[in-house]
Amino acid sequence: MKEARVIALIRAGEADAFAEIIEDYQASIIRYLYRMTGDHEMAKDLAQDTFIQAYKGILKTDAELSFRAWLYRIATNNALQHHRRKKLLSFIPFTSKEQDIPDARKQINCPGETFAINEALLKIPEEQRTCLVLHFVEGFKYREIAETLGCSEEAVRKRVTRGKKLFIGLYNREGGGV
Amino acid sequence: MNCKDLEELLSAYVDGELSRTQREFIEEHLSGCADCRETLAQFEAAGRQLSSLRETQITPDITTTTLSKIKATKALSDKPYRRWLRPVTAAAAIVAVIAILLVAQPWGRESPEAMAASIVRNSPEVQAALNGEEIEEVEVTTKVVDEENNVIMMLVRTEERVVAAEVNLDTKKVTEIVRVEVPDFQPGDEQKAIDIAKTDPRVQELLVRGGVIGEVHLGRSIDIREIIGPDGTTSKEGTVIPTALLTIELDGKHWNVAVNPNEGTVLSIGQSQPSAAMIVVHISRFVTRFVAPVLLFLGILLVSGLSFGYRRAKTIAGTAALALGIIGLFMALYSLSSIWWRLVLSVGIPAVGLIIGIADLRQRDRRRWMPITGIVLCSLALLLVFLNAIMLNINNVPGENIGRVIGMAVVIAGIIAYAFKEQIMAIRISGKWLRPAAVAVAAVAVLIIALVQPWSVSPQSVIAKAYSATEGLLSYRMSSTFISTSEGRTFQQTSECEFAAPDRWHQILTMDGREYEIISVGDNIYVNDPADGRLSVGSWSPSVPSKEETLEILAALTDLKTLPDELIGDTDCLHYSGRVDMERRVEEIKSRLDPSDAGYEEALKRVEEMRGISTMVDLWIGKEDYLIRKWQQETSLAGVVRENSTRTYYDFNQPITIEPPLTAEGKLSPGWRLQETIPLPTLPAGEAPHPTSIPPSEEEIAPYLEARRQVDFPIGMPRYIPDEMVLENVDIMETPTGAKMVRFLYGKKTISQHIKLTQSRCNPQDKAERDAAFEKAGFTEVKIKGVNGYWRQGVLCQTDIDNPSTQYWDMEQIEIWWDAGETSYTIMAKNVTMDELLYLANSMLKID
Repeated sequence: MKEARVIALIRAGEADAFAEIIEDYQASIIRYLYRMTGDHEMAKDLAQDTFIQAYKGILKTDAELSFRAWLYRIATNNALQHHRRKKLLSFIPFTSKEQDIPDARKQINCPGETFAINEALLKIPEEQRTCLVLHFVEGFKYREIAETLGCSEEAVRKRVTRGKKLFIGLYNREGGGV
Repeated sequence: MNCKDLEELLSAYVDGELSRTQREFIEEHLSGCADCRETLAQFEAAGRQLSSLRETQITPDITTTTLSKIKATKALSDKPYRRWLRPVTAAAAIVAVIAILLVAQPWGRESPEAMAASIVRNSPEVQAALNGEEIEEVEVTTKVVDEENNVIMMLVRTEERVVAAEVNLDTKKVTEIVRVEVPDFQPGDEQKAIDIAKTDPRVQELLVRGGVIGEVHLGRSIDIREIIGPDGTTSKEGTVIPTALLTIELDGKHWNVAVNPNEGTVLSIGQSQPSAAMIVVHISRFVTRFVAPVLLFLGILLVSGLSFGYRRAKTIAGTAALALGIIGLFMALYSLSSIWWRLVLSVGIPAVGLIIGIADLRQRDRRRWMPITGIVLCSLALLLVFLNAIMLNINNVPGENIGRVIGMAVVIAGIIAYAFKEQIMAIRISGKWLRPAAVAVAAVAVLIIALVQPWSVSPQSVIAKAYSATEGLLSYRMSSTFISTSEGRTFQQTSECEFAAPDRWHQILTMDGREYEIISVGDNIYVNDPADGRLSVGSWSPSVPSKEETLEILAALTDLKTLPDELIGDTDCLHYSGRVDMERRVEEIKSRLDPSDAGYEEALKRVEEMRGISTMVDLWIGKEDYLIRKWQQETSLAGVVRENSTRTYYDFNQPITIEPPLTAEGKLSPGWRLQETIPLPTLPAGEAPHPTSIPPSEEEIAPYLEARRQVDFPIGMPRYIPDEMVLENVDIMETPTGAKMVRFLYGKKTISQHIKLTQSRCNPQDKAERDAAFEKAGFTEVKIKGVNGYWRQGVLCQTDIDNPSTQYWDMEQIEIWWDAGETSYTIMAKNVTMDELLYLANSMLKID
């Protein structure tokens, strides 16, 4: 397996070998973080952090998880941490809520429908959003999601269902589908 | 089964996550349930929509930067300082905050007690009263409650003695000094005080109504009384009363009960009720003392704390550099001090910030604004410290208000900027203008600081500006009041004065209800004197310092203190108080004396005597033009003689014309006379008499030539004329034997030199000694009533023109004591007959 070979190389001190992993995963990780944060620049930053942490982690631990699940777990943590920080900052006066949610239209040029989908998605609580994005965008099976998030498949099914229902409501309110 | 319960299964069915049996079950249900088919359609639509997000185009480009960062972190984590950087920066921030709180004390003023103690410690009067003994302890005893609550009594102890000093915090001066004996407290005095208080009916009433006795403080109160002795002399006596102060709280109000435990008496009972003004003062003090530092502390915690939690590897060093830069700038604004550790702190903190900022800049590849701003601020702070050090020549300069305001503003701006950091970073994405904007803001801030020049608002620099502003004045007007108190007598004089550069003065002087007018043009002094010759004017008129003297005093001011700004007229003025550095003035004047001069020894002695004089000056200087608007001066000698003068200046550089009082023909206008001010040169004592050994110079001989024109016979000159004496009168008379006599009267009047006047008159012991000596030497004494004159010295010389042997006969020096209170002269002279003395007295009358 490719990852196992890369990991072996890294442990042997070949930091450049990690480039292969970044190249393989960067697009999907950035996309995932973008869907989680709604901020393209931030997604890139968090992706960088994710890879750096993954690099350090590879040296330290024998991952029991599949590499992909583990990488997404780190990315999810970073996304959640970013969200917590935003919450903390919003307690500081002068920081308005409106500015916290960046205007997705400005981020990436996209048709009106994608914009509405995106807007609706960003309003769903992270717990459910994570599951929706992992399943529909990243193509994870429920089992893989459970592995990534460290929860049961039952919980994943519940979250996906709830997330979908919220999405349908929010999407209609956003005026999508009209 | 309820359809609602099937939602999860339906959802999973759409997602293809059901087992075969579950799938079959759902399919069966769907065929018979329209509602669930509807839900299914919605789920399918949602799935399609969400899956469409997969199409998002991502252009990944992070491989290189991520890899370089991985290598950088690897390198960093290999270096040992990475491990202590974080705790060290945190510690530095905390230490800096504590340092600011404890050391710089930029918020609020020092407590009234501490201020009073420092006034007492530095007061020359107190030093004099203690005979220069070292002050061991200063104890606050009583706060005398006046309107402003700002008079404090202090006990000052040395090893030998204790004096009580009354300090007025408003004028920052010691107003009374009295020697006192201090009784000690006995153990159990607190309880005794409570017992005594309880015997008082008013206290009993308070207690019956539910009052509770709170704290008991043991202190001392001082009572200063004026004692009039049997001989009519007055003296001050201080009594120290041991006092216990009890507080009784009733219905939220506080009652103060003062008790003397030794005598068992209740001294006073009063309700302490702060006035509205005092409440405002207390609130503002509280805000500046506690709230502001807490805010700053929270701000720094925010700056450092948030950064720790947030991608710390990126931000910690930059944040630390920024925080230290802000603190450093703040410290720099307070570094106007000679205290070494303050300087060290204000240099050290920005220096550390600078190092961290530069180190950080080398590590990171983006988001550089924090270390860059930190480096800029640190550099600015260091620059300020060095500018301060250079410009102020390190004198004792306390922090300045403007500096404080700017320092606080910078800190608050930093905190706000950090709070907005997220927004600022968000803006970055769309805008390329952030960096230029930040640079512009920084440039504007630097410009504002440069324009406001907070560091130059030190008293020294203001005085320096006032000096050059005064030096450049072409004309001004001045009103002055001069009060001199010596040995219980008071002399008062007011004057209105005009000055036109370079050397023209016009003064209207009011003394003892009489008005005198003086015009001085160059060396000529014209006097219009209703008392006809009573007033004498020296090289400059009395009590009003010339521009040169004003400048000299300005240059010698030291120990400057900044007081709150005040309006003088409608001009906003800076208010300073300071002391004339007499040591420095003495050294300056000494350096100007010429040792080859005849009167050098004498002059040196007089200059040395100046060391005992203390002169305190209060100055009000216009904020805009640095011109002196008001000048208040208090001169005292060993606490015995006091002179107060107040002068207000106005009409600066207005056209002022001062002309000599001459008629069109060039003669003196009626009522005016020209005051001669040409002093005779002196001959050293012991020299051979004129004219045999030393031929007199032209200048010397001029007055005699003038006198000779009045007679048709030759006259000689006196052989010794004391320093500065002027020929005042020449008289020709016939003696009973028919001999013709010429008498010269030389004298000097010293009212214009009030310091000399006080020195000669101030010391009662000296006067008594002199009186005794005069008596012993057989002085003849004459009192002339009805004269209100001046102290003077004189020499009477007479020449018998018919008898050459008496030709250069001269008299001993005469002392004439002026007694303002009794309006009479006491004239004493040695080796003269009553006839001669009467002659002398009459000539005096004629002249004065």
